[in-house]
Amino acid sequence: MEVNHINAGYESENGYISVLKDVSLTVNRDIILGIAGESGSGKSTLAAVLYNSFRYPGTIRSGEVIFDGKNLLKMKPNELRKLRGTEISFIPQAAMNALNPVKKIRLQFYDMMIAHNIKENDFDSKISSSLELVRLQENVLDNFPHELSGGMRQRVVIAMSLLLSPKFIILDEPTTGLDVMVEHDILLDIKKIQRTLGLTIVFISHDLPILFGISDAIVMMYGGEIVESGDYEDLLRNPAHPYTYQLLKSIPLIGTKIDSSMIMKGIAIDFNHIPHGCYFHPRCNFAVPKCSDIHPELKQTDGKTHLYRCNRYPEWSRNAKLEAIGT
Amino acid sequence: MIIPYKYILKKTAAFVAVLYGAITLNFILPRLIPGDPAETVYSTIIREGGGSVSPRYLHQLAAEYGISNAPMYVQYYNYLVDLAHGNLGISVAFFPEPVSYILYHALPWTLLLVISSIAISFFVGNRMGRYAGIHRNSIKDLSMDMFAMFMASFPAFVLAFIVLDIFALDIKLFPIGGAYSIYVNPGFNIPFIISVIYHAVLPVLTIILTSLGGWELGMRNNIIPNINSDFISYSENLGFKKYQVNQIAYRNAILPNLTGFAMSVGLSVSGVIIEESIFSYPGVGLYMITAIDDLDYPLIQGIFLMVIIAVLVGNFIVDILYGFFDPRIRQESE
Repeated sequence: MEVNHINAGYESENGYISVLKDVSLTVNRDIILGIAGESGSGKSTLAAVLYNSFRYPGTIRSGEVIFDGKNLLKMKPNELRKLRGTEISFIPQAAMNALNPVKKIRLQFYDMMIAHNIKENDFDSKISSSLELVRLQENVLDNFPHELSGGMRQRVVIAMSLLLSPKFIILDEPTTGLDVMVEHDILLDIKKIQRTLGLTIVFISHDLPILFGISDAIVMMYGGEIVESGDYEDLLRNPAHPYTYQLLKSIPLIGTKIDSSMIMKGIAIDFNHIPHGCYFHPRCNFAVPKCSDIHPELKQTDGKTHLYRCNRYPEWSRNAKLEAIGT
Repeated sequence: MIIPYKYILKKTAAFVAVLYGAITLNFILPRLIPGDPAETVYSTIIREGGGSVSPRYLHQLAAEYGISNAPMYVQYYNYLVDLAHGNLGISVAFFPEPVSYILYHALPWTLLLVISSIAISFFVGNRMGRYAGIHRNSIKDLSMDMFAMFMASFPAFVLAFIVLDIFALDIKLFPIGGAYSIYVNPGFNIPFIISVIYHAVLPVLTIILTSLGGWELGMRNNIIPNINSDFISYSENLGFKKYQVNQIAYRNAILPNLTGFAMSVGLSVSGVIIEESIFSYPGVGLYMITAIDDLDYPLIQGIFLMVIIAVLVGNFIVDILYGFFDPRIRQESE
């Protein structure tokens, strides 16, 4: 999948609010691409645009999403409908409420297969192989959604999204509202399924430890732009953007007491008042005066795949290392 | 299908308890009103006749109307026994017809009006609301809502007169009143059935037009949050067909209207009084007006009892159906 120059935002009473600004990225086959950022960084907007499920007041001003040589954003509704669930799939943010409350799980699976004209003889074999993937017993099929626990409902949703073996899946914070153990279990399963079936996954989350744990490549978003992207190890060991660095530093480790020095200063960007120059400079520990004037372009580091959007790389990085040694 | 026995049992117990309470209230309330029908008739005769009438006549009247001076508990016991035998007393206005006989003949006409008109208006109104909700904020939606709001707030008696004036008096397409023509033989024969349908058209049309708007607005307002819900957007994201998505939203949105349906069937047994009296339709409502005019307590009491039972039974049926339609309700109460 290739995403080219997306500009998208929301219509409001005070006019158009631009959120995504010239976002381009390539999702390679058979990997998990993690998209990270704080709340309000535009990552969920990006997820909706990728799936062409961005609805009014959301508007896409320009750009294209190329999947299998076709632009998803220009597709006819019925063509797009046939693609959904079979080629591409989506696991939503509020997966707990994604199931119809008044219908048994089995019938919801059937509905999905009726929608895609699957032969009735194949219904049960498809359901059981899909449930096996997410390690659910077949007796959940005769339950209503409210009779299942949050984790089980989440697994049902994943099973439903994988039912017709799509190759490309977008997960928008799929584990919101689950406790850590269940979350961990589900993420391990997702990773395993991805490896065995050779899926391409776009994984969107604000939870950095999880994201770095599961992804092969990472895209960092800030203020509706990509501020850094590359291999997960590059970002983890050599962050090229202070935002990545400061976010990683703010992750509390078990055993350390949280103190205010760990927390990133400032609040997430307000799309009505976007700062001049680098969007991140008001919150950056390494900002210099030029940062408030010059809006940096995406640049490459020595490694080909590692992109960043900073005026002061690699100077700030050396300062940071010295600082770390000093303390 | 799993039959929620426990739920049904619970609802049945509640139904019986409320029914008993209502029957008891129906016994107590008229006895709190000063005077009785015998006194009313007696004083009317004195007032209008101008002469003096022997008080013995009052006792005779009281005996004929079955008014007793027995202690309350005896009266209450007799009341329950009478009720169990379907004996609701003797009408004053239609003396000496028993109340149960009047109701027995009036109720089918009211039920005919109520059930046919509410079924049609429920179906059409919900479909309209579904259409408006799916095309929300479009010109189709706005014009439909305008129509619905206008019709819902239009007084039934004004509409009934307008309909009567245009269709019965001006173009003489439909009869002015009554339930069937005097030229047909009541019974199960085709001319009679056609005549009944022909006479029911105008009152039914009036009831449909005035009740349609409520269903339309209710459905529209129920279906919009459903269309915006997570499970609908998830269905869309999985590539469900348009009709499947709409069906899911509709199915979830109709639940609140179902309660309204039962309530209105119950209430309408008395609620079509206006239509019945304007179209002189021989239903319960028409008798109720006469009964109130003539202070016919036994008949009023009988009609009230019937309305109460109709409302309770309507709600009971919906409660049970709800248990089947919405598994969440069933579970909460188990």
